[in-house]
Amino acid sequence: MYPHERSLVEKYPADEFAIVGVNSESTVEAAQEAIKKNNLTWMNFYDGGTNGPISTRWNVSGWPTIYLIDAQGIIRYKDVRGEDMDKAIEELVAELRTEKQKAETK
Amino acid sequence: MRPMLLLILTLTILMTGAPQVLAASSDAPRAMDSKKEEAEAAFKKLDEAMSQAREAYYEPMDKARKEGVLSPEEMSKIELDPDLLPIKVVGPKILKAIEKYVGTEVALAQCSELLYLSSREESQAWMFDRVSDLMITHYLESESLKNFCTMAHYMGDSPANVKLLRSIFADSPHRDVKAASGYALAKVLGSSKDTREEGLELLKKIGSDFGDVVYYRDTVYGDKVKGDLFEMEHLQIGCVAPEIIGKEVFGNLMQLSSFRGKVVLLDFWGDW
Repeated sequence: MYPHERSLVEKYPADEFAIVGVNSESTVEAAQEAIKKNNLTWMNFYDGGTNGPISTRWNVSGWPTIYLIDAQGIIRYKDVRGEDMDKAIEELVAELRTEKQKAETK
Repeated sequence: MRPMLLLILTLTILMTGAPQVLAASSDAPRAMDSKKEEAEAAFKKLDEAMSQAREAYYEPMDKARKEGVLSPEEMSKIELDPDLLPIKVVGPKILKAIEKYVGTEVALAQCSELLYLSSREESQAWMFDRVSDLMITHYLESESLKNFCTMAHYMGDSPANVKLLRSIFADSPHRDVKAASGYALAKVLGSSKDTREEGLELLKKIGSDFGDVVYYRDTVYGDKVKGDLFEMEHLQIGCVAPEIIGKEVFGNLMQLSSFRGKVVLLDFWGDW
């Protein structure tokens, strides 16, 4: 998962795509260690365990759980994996680019 | 650490066949004990047969793995022989043993496992029907039904599963079993378009009538249902993502909405 996620972050410009992690490690040390070990370059909320407030509010019951949110902040995909996830990101980024172009030509 | 992990835990217990003791109210406890022992021995043998069948079924994958590391795509292209499906090979023998030792707790644990395995293979729907009928006839009073109920909503919305959960919810004398079966039934009904409303009503009822019953560890059904209802209302495709404000792992403040304007992959993860 991590190498693939890193490649996504590298593939798209930072103003078009971001990964936001919610880490559910039970100690902050373990979370920091996991981020260093896996070379994660993106931001991660620290949730303090699988029963943390963010996971609880988002009703997460399995890890990893994935949401894809578009540039307007709308949830567009839930739990897409692998190629489907790549396609979904591609679609949402293309949408964003079209919107930006429209705004520029106006 | 909720359903998925719970499912794995429950399955592990089922697979390893943790022996459970049936409260013997019989006049002949000794006969009961020997039947129990006989049943345990029989199912242990069948467990071994199941492991062997699994090995045989997955052999092409093991072989490929030994020959070199394959990508997940290459692995998924390996063809497995459908006639070697463990549930097809060993399932009928387990069913026979369940019928022979029906009434014992160890047979009930095997029922759950068979239901789980047969729910994943369309061709084995007949087995799901048979086993669920056996459970309705012989086990509605058992408190161990809770083990089945906690994973029942992963077994799909087949009429047989719905009927079984309805029976348990209506007739179980145990409050925790009622809560677990009602919750599973609500989830199953809620997953299908025609019964969504009924599922939602039942879910709310479980939250209010069984809110104090423990769902898992320190979570009670009241909280679990609250989470499910929030998800239905605010976490569906098309909803504005709820705000998250908090500290990131190295202590700085961050908030989800500050990423507005970009496509965001929100990833709940743990390195375990």
